[in-house]
Amino acid sequence: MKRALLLACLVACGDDPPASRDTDLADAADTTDAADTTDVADTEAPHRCLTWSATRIPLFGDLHVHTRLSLDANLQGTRLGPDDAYRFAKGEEVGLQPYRPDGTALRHLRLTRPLDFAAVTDHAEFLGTVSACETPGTAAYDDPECVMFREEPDRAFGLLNLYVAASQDAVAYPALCGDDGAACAPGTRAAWSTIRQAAAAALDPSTACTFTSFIAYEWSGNPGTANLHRNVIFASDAVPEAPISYLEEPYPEGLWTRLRAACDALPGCDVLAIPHNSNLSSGLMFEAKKRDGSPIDRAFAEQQAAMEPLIEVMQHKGDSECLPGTPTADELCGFEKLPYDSLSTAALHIEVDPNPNDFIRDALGRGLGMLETLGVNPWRFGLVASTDTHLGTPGAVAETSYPGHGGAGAAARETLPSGLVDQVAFNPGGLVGVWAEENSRPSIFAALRRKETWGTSGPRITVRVFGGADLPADLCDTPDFAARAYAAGVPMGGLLTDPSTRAPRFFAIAQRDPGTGAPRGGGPSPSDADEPSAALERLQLVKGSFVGGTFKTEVIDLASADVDLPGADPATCAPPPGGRDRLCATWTDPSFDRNAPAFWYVRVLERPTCRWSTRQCLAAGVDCARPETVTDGFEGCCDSRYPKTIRERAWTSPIWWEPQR
Amino acid sequence: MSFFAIGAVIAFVPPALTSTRPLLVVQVPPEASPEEVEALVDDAVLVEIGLALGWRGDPLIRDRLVRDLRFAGQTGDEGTLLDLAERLDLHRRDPLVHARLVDRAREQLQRLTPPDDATLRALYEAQRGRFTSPTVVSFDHVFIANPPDPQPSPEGSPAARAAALLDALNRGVTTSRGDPELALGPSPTRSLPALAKTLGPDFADAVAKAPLERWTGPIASRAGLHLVRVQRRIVPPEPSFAALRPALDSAWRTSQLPLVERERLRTARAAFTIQVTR
Repeated sequence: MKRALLLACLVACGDDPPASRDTDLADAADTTDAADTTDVADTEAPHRCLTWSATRIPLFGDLHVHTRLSLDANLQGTRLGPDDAYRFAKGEEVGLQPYRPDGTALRHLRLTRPLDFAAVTDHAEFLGTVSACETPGTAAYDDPECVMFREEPDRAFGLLNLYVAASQDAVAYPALCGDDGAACAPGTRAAWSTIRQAAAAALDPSTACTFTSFIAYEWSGNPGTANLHRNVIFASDAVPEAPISYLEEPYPEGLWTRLRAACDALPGCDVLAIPHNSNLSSGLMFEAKKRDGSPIDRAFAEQQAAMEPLIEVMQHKGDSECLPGTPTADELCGFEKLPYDSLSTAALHIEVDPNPNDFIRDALGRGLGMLETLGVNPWRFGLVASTDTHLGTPGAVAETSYPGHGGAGAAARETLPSGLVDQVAFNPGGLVGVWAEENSRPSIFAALRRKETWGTSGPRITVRVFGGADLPADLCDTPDFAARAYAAGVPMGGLLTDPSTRAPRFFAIAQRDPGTGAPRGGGPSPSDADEPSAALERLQLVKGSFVGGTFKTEVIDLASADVDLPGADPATCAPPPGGRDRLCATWTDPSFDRNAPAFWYVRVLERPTCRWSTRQCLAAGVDCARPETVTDGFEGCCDSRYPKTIRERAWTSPIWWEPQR
Repeated sequence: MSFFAIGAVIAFVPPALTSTRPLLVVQVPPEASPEEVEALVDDAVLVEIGLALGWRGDPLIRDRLVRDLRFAGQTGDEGTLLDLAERLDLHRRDPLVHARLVDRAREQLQRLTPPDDATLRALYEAQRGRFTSPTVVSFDHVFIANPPDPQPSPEGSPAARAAALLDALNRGVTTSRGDPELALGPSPTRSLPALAKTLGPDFADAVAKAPLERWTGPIASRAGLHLVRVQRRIVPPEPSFAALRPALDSAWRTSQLPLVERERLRTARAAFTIQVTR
């Protein structure tokens, strides 16, 4: 009787939550790699937004965001969940840790400019662990590891990370989850459901198309604490029932295979993976070896090229573009470099020189070489940047209001930071820009696939680059340059296909971040809530080519202004003099060799402005000449290895040339 | 039949029939406070729900009980050992199995039946302003860049350039389209919030108020000066109810989950005659 009655109740009430619905789903199945598309977008293509544009619009987002569902964020006191993160991305104020005993937050933050799109990318590995240890009554709630999770979060962080820090063949589920992870599986599914529902609820379904969310997660491959992490982004609501984590699949190539198989079984599913923090990979991100240790082959290269069109060049844990001196001198590579080579050295602040093989420019060059040896370039990466916030605050990139991002950086679980809000080596991270026809999932995902993307170190610098032998020379003088450039060339991320022997011409244009506040040169002074911005100093083209078995690079200044003027004064942090609102140039490559594979990407530099640490040191009255002002927590203010000013910047995806063979 | 309907049936069962409700004896410590007693009763009911879900089908519970009995020297196949566990009441008394049963019961109680349309429509009506779509504006756009230096450029100050250009555009005597501009381009269509985050709220306000089909300006932004000719303003149709459903569902779920779990547990408790012993 008892059993029957309860079962009757449970059968009746036990419907699954409704699958999240996405009005974009029908359009999201377009998996075409449009990297080679040269034409303006098809005006007859179906679109749902009133704001659709054939010449595409610039959209800014953050594709690397952690919330309380991530183990490390949770243990650092983050209470914001995926719903909260999307609310923040859309411009709502949120409370941040630490919290008072009554649950109210001691800090609050709001974006002065909402984002256009975002993806919550919580670590998949411990989604179920967090859920199991937080929910009284779960099978694992009283497990010693869960007790430690709740009562000794710092120790738990170290202990639980050991499970994923072993070699790839020794990865194990936390003991509290059981040998096969079954005890944590319900928690993982519940957290995944939360992530999916939050993304569905955040998406703007109106034809105004004001905000787009993506269902996503982070695969946190971590052998020996070398960072092999990937953010996995899904195109639509059609996603697997649970994320495939490092605990299920410890090798990148296995991840790609399983993701592709899972997606192929789901109508409307498409997926890509974005590697990040190659700077902390101890030489493994671009090791070019398969799981058996043998060199990668053509099949591996094709698989990686298909699954990983993008790489994250910049985020909270440093810049990965290039290391000064490797492979060629470029002093501007000396930007936000971490003095670490792995996640453990970063987390424990054990300073180790970065591994020269961990940087993207060099990998792009080695990719050109593999085009010759394998016939396929596995590393034809487009570039993006994001924050990697572990506070659930996507797009919190302002140097003026940096709250720290937690994660490998400093936490503020119980008390407000007494000094700098983060380890001085870290930074607020960056944003990803895309050129998309409209602010919708299908359109943005297609832009990610074709690599019409750029990354910034935070400012909303807008930049375009086109390449092609037939590009007109007067594009800098005409407001309708975009339509003409699409008609005659390929945009960032594209592959030059010109069969002629003529050298390609490049057209590049960048526009400063207008910032927020009153118009410059008039009106009231900016308020404290405003985000200042800086003028542009240089528009550069970085060329890499593979000639005679050697990778060669050069950096060409396409346009510049006031390079010799001083930057911002660290004593006041007032905006620096000089620079331009816009820089534009056309340039024909005089050393183009049609037999040599090559890439060209644009780097845009702002005039030097005060770094976040300098602003906080200034506000605290730190004067390095007066040691008594350097109080606890502010020692980093006087560490000469970290500059007082930085040149914020943007990097476009490259345009490639691949000789026909 | 929904859980609530079943709860209602239970609530209206004639008193004479309540004696048919199964007895659930809950042992509590002698010093337990009323709140602790309530928590222990809830726990006991959750265990019964967990058992009703079919404990033999749960691999974690199976493995645990089989391992316990083999550790105690029992032999036999899995089915035999599980029968023995049931006879010994181990499936209730083992602490890990107990916690697992509670876990499964809570998971079940937290499952929400999708709210019906009427519920969500009521929520939609109550929060209508939250789901209103912003106005979208299509306009022609001429941009006059800030000069690189504080001194006027040879063609004059941006304001003078803008004034001359505005006059010429309104008289139809120029084809000039100003300076190249990246964020909007020459013929943008944007929502007002998108304009506000691109060039500031003052710019968005000015575009919102600009006359139709006539060049107007200059409007100052931090990027420079702008002349605009608004072609049309569109108030997007309200998204369909189906399209809004995830957002409505999320709002409903956030507000309802704690209430529903509590109500379901209360209903489940009502299915028993509870006897508390100290």
